Amino acid sequence: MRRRAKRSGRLTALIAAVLLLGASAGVFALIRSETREQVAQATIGGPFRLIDSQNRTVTDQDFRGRYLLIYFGYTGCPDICPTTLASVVQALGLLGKRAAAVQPVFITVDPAHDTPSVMRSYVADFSPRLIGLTGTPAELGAAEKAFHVTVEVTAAGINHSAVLYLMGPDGHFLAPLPADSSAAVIAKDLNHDLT
Amino acid sequence: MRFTLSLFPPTLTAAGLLVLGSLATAQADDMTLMASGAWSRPTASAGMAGVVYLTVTDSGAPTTLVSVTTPIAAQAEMHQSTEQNGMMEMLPVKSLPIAPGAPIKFSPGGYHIMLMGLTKPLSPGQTFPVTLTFADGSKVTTTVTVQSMTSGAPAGAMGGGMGSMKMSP
Repeated sequence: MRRRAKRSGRLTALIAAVLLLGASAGVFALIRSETREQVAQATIGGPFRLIDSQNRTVTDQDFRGRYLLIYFGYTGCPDICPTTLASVVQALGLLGKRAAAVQPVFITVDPAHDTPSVMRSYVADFSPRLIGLTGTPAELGAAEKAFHVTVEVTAAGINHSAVLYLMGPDGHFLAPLPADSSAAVIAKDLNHDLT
Repeated sequence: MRFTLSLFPPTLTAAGLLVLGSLATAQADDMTLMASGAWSRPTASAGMAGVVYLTVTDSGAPTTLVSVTTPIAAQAEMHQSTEQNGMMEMLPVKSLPIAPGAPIKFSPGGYHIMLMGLTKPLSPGQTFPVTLTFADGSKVTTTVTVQSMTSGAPAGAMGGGMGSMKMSP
């Protein structure tokens, strides 16, 4: 009888230990992933120095005081980029007066083709409010790196990370939005994030 | 009636009967493939790729869409926008199957038709034809309307809308 009790006691302890270990591992992983995300969020964005469609130098500092909604793409992108930018413009329309606090920015990943004048025609098709930025490959590369944008030039086209970056008026990263979000979803997120 | 008929040369009458005949057999094998809701976006400058979105339905035998052509571009290809680990990619698509109940939808963020080597930049309000060719040899031509950049799909682009006649091969 005593032996049986001892065995079942050990088994219970073993099970408890395994469960506790598993739970700890799970919580640990969760904390680690949250921390990882927080760290990632903290390092998204940063200084950039680019050229607008009027050939003027534009830096991140020029946008302080406004929220920025930044999208990286290229004018030769037939589907995703126009769809995303159209959704952004429509979303700002849905925001009404609050939209004045948000500056939509389109940064090209194709400096070879997307010169300032090409960018000027392109953004004009979407909205007079949309700012298009280009620059030297080095300047754009630095911006891509700061925003964790991966760019892959292929024969079929340029593959690129498709994320909308919402930056706060102090220049800090606030939130990412998937590029395929609808205008309604973007407007809802903006309404939520704008203070 | 006799008066009108006597004015028609025999060839015209024969042609008229042929048209009527083909319309009559529409339910049999013609007009089973239909394209609708075709729309496009403006392009800002020459050399930029264009896009066409549309829906194709099949109420007859299953077949495969194998190519797209248009007189306003050197090349038209089917592509699919896909996301791989946060990266947007465009994969060329060689063919797409179609069958009753399984239409082909070219729409933003998914399958789309890419136009390369446009003869002129596209502007809102412009219309142009595209011809879809299927594995069974049949062709469907439909008219594409260029929308403004922010207006998106026109009403009726999502299913329904005006269908197009199927041309006999």
